[in-house]
Amino acid sequence: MTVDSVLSPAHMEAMRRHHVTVTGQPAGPVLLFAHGFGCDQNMWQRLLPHFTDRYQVVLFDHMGSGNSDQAGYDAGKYSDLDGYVSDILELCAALDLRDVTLVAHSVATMMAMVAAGAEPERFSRLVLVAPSPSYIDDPAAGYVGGFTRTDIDDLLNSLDSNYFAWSAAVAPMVMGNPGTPELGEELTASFCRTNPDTARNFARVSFLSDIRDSLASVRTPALILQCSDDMLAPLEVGRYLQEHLAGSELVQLRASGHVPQASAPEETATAILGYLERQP
Amino acid sequence: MTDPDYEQFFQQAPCGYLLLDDDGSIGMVNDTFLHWTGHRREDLVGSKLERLLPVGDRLLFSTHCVPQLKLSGAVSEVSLEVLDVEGKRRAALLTAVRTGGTGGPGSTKVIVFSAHERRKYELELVEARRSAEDSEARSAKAEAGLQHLALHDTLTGLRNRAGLASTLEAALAERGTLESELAVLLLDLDRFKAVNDSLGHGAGDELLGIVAERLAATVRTSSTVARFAGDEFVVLEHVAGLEEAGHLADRILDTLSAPMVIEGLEVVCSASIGVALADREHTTLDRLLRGADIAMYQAKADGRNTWTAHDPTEADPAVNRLQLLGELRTAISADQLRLHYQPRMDLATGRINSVEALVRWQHPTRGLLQPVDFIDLAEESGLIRHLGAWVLEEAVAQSARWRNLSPEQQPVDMAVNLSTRQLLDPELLELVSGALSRHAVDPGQLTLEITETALMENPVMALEILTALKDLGVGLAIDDFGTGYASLTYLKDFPIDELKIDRSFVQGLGGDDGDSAIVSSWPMPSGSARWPRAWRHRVSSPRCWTSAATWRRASTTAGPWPRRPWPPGWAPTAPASRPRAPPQERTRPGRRTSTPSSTISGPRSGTAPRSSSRGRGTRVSGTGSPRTGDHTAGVQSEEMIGGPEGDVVVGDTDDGGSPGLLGRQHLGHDGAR
Repeated sequence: MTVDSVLSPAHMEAMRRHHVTVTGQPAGPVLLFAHGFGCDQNMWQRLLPHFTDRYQVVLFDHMGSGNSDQAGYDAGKYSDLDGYVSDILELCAALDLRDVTLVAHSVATMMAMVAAGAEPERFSRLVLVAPSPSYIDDPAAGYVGGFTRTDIDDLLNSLDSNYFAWSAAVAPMVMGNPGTPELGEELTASFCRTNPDTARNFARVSFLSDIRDSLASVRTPALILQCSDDMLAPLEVGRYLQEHLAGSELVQLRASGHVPQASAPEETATAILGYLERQP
Repeated sequence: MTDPDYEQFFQQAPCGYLLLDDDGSIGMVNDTFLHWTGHRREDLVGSKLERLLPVGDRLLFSTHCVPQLKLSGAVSEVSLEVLDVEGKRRAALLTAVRTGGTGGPGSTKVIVFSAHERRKYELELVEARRSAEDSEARSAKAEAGLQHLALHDTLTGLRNRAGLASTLEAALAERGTLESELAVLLLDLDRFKAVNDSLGHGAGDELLGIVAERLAATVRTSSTVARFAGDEFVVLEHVAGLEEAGHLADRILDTLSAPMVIEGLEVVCSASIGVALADREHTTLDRLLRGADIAMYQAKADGRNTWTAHDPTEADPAVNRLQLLGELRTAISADQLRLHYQPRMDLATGRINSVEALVRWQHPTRGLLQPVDFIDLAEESGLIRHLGAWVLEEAVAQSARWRNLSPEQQPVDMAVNLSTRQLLDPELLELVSGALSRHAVDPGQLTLEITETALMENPVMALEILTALKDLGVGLAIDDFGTGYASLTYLKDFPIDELKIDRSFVQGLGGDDGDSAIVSSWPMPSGSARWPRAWRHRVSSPRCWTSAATWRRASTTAGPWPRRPWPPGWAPTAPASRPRAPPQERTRPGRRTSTPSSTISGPRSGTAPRSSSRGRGTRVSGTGSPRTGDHTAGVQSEEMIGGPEGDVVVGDTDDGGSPGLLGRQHLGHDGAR
């Protein structure tokens, strides 16, 4: 991909709406990173140095998250997964991204699989970090997602109890500590800042969507990165996905928790790079 | 002070302390936390902090707090709940700082405060905020409902007058940005009142509903259809020009003409449509609707079930009327009024024996105006008293001038019309006697003509006045007899010398109907002793000439010669011969089209036309009494047109808008004069 000196209006608009960041090698293969629920593109921060030397790295914020255009947030559009999926496809078209490797985390893995099913020619590979096709158990189908509807209501309640702290102009600051690396107040304050209203909608979409029926239409090769001890994505979910995604590869990480790109960036990057290099 | 006991400070701090390793497992926990939760230390150490959180908080902690901690090194005042040993939730605020390098092992220091009250209030506040938003949304919805009600017609669901106004104003505002023109079609159902009157209001409402549906189905979806009032609808559409607006009007007329069944009866509906385009001339809503209104009335006048486009260059009849009224006020003093004289000839002798004074207005810019152009104005405004007084004075003066010009000849009688107002004017007697004495004219030479309607307005007072006038010695005539309800029996109480039969009775003269018989019978009461000049009284019809044989049966004195009235210079100086032709009165070209305010013909339609309260200056001529409207003027035109072209020639008053009883087709020439 070459970088044109003149950007189209659609390109500019997409950049602005999604606070798109482009780094790495302009001529390198495209890695598009899609963040999940709870944070924003900063989530990928510790992972990026492993890719910027060879790849063109494109980061963005979903509408309603991070520094996306809050004024352009349409509650109706983003009340289901399709609103986010169409955003990703429009973003690729506006930026004219081709042969994209879409690296997605958590709920964004659902978007990635649906997007690849809809426009297979756009994506060459999917990297699914801590993925799940549905977080809700489906006893009738013998599917274990990890949660019930009641659990999700509990999450919404948790969000509400943080409502005013999150809607405050400045996040609560931690007192300085001599043992803590200085991050700078500004970054700390803005990091993973969440708008409580859009977060509530995003939480509903994230945890109530169910894309199991769409898996069969995904033909794009995919890497599944499964964490150990991830309460959001039990081991069964990783196995389920591998069974239902044609051409998918499952890698079990030693990293625990749900955010390996933050907690174990080296291990995560190694797994991804190994996969990309193995694939033609 | 001894060395501080750090161990005690840690264990008994006023908040919970926890130390986590990198995978979130609890390494250390203080007594305060254990006391608060009831857990045992050995149960907590080595397990993950998330396990102490309810599932919702666990989800939030994993997805939001953990990455933030790993990446920025701190989370602050996270609101969550901790499950105590009994599984009960304890509200807390959690603040954590992570230490240690990015590469090597790190640890996370956590403090936990009990925050029961704060969480409670926070949730209550959120709840209050949500319900406020809901209530706001509900009132917005309710307001939208009210707004809808205010702008829409409940019967048809279409926009109402206010709704139309807001739509039209918005359309006018954006007109400049569009290439298309804005067309307003004002549609008035023809004879809707007949449906309402005969089938009832329910049927009328049903008809309106059907019309509304058909209109909505006929226009583009981008168009606006509104119910303007009663049976008036307005269609608003963007068009390329007048031609397209005309096509739309045609489509609407077509659609409406399909029969509809209302209460089991097939009803065929039609409408008259006025079209106005928003251009530079019609910058405002009111002017645009006014233009469409004028055009709609023109469509009505053109025979209904048609459309007419408003010509913006055409003067507004209402404006025209007001302007004319102002000018009429000064016309009398400015010497702009003229009298023309309609001669009448005795058929037996061929001699002109009388003239009738008829008023004209020599308008400085509009030319010579006929009575129909200004008499109604004079009546309505009260100017008729001054105008009538002037006519009387001038007619008597002219009579004297002619007498002085040819003293050797027998004087010519002068007839002057009186309006209702004049007749009931207490100063009338003094006015008449004053004029006669000022000009030394014999009262017997003056005949005052009163309409039957004027007579019947207040018969008691009329009798008193007429008797007094009779005592002066002036002649009295009833004009257009037969149009009111006065019976001959009643009339005989009045000191009347002459009956002028209304043309509605004489148009059939020479034909085979009963009119000839009626007219022939009228001289019969002449034997009554109550008619003082029994053998002098005349029955005449000013607009009727039949073959001499028929006429003689009906009259002792012929009506006026079929000529236009003369200006005073063409005095009947040769009574033994046929009078010289007077110059033709010049009528303004295009007058028919330029005076949409002319009377609407009632008789043809059989429908009562609109009242003039709409302000468009429409004169109404009722069906029952075709001359009532302009006859009250009392100084109306009685001009003749053309000459005898057959056995029966029926003249028409030159009043522009024919009441319609006398078809112009009888005249042998069209209405273009």
